[in-house]
Amino acid sequence: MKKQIEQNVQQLLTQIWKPGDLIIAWKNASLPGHRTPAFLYRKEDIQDIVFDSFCDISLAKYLNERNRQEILPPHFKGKIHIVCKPCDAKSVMQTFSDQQISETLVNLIVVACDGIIDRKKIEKHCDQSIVDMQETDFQILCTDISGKEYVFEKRESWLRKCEDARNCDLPYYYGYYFVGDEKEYRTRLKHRYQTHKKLPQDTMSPKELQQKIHQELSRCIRCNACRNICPACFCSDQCVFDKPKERAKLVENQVTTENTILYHMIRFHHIAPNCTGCGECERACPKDIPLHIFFEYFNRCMEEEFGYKPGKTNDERQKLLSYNLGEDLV
Amino acid sequence: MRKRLKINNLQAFLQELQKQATLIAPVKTDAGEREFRPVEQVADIVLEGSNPLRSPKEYLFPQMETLYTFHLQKDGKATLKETLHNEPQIILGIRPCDLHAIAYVKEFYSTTHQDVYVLEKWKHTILIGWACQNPLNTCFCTSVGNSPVDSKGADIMMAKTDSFYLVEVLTVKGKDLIEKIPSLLEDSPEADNEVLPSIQKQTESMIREKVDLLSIKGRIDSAYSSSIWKSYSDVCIACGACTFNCPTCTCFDSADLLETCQDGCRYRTWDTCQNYAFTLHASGHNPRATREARLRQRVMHKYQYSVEQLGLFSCTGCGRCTRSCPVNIDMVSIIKDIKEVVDHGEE
Amino acid sequence: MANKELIYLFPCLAEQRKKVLQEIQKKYPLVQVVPITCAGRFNTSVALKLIHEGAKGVIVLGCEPGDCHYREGSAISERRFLLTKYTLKAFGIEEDRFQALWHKPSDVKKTMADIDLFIERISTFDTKGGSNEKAN
Repeated sequence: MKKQIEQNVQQLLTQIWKPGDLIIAWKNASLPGHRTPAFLYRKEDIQDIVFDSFCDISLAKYLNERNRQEILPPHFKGKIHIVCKPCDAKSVMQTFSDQQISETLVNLIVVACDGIIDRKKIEKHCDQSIVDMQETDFQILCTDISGKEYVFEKRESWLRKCEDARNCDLPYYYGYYFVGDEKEYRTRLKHRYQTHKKLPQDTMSPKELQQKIHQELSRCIRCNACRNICPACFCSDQCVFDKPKERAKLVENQVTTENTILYHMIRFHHIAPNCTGCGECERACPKDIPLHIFFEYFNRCMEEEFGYKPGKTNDERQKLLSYNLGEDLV
Repeated sequence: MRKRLKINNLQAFLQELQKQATLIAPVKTDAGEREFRPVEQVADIVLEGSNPLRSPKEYLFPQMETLYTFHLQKDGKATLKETLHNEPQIILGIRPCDLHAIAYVKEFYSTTHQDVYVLEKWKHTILIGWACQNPLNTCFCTSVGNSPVDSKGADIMMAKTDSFYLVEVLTVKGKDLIEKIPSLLEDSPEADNEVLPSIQKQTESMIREKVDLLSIKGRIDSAYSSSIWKSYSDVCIACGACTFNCPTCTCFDSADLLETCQDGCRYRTWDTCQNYAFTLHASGHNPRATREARLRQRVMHKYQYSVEQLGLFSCTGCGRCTRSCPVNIDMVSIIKDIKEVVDHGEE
Repeated sequence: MANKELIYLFPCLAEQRKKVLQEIQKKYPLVQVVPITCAGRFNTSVALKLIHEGAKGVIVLGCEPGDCHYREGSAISERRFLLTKYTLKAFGIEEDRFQALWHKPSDVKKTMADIDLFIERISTFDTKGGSNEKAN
């Protein structure tokens, strides 16, 4: 099914592409199961675009202002065509409502996705390093370095976010192209499991929770991958954590677990109103720290307490930054 | 000096090592990953399997280290107290790539600037290497002139065969250690000469690709103004995962921490050249303001600047940067592109 | 670095509030008063940092939303303060350690009563411990 979508995306792009435009999509990287962002300026390159179950990287991050400055050539006048899964489309919406990029600059192409594979999960189950990784309709076939073959069921190796259908709904925005059958996609979504999972905050006592957090975050090496890959973090070089002219330093550079906990506490506190739950921070973490225990909790708070789901539409002002006199507080 | 160790005697051998000094070895953690940690139970040690993501460098050059503490006395004078950690330690199970890395870090900190903190630790450390039989798909040590069994930098080298462990003693430090452990080791016959080459052959056949960088050693700066950097820096999100997991990255940042008005310490932590603030001047000018410049700096330092300074590649081909990259930038494809540009010029 | 056992009070600097502050400092020597311009300007990360590093509690004293000199200033912060409480909860810290009080600046009696209540409530909490872990 994904092969068909990949072809349709390429077809659509050849139709709407004009000279001077930029296409942001995925392409193959040299390692098995690795896909990497591709920035294409030429029509011939459109055939390199890939979409399959391994396209886990969210491309929405590349739209925000600082990243665009790095990527775009000087005097860029064209449009940016960006290929997105429905979950990333929400991050793009959030980028719009954070006024990081004007909607007129972007052509959003949403692809019908039925789940993305968690590569780390698969690599963990293999004894040796993988040299080949292929997908069929329901299975993932791997070969390791010694020639041993493995078969994994796709439904058991989804990314965590793909298990909850709430992350898969489409944004309220009429300016996107949908590749695939939109009606079928929406009905499929209705039949899927939609509920918040139980989080440690619900099941554990505060003391136990503190212990668990201490244990998990003690692995953190403060590489900032979670911050830098986050589509909601747009302060870039002016971040509170490394702003050199900040008079009072919020978090000391010392890498102790206590400082690490404070780092994550302040980071999640900052992005909570923008967090769409895309799970990129957890995926990017080289130490596999389960950061979902925080962002899923905050997502739920935002929804239950403020009635606000980040990334639902393109023009909702961030609830925690705006207030009109006479409005209800919560 | 070459010895044999029976498979059954390994546990006893490790216990003997543990008695001599703090033993650091790959241990399975709660999170299910292997990591170099001080060993509590010898049975926890897992020597085989892929190389841990975090390199043993941190036991010589820790991510965070207090350099000295200071105290302001009542009479207005300040006293400084240096905090040197020089307890003896044995690091076991280091792959050749990490051995090279430790040798590089030691070399780096003893030529241009004598860093007592690293050198003191190195003096009190015994490094026991482990011939690599489980390369990952990210590994490329052969490309930078290393091999999976190279023992450069090790005091003792170990290798596993089907029926015994080969223990090769290479330095005086190693010999002193082995002499303290009597009776477990047997003499090794002449035929054991073949053990390491056969492991090398087998492991090298599993390494995915060899890009011959040695042939262009010292000429890599001709790729400085190439367009390849832009194609990778577009994708790069400028986090520090690659530098913080790299076994040869040596940059650090130091700062003072005041605990009370009288007491404090100066500490240093690893820093990453991928961060915007790394080269930011007080004037506001930043010589490496773009990601392209920062990514190029990192790669060029590994393959060119360290060659100019010390005559060594400071990349050992362990592949940790590729392993930890959140956007799947592959170091092998970068060096492939570099070689292409250096050999044949830009298209 | 936060001083353990202390309670930090961030009052907005409305002119009539001086009387309340004097009274608080007389009654509770362990309350550290740090005046800010408006409760809407309060950086909630500072509250997180203080509580995480061992302060017993943090109170922000502001004018009632709508009553604020800067119009909607305290109203925006009301929403942020709610989020701050959730952040504390998410990391396993008692959310009651952080409290925002909205009172008319001249209302000394009510303000004192609420601060009494707050101090009584958090006196049952033990000190979090904060950063025991020192550089080694």
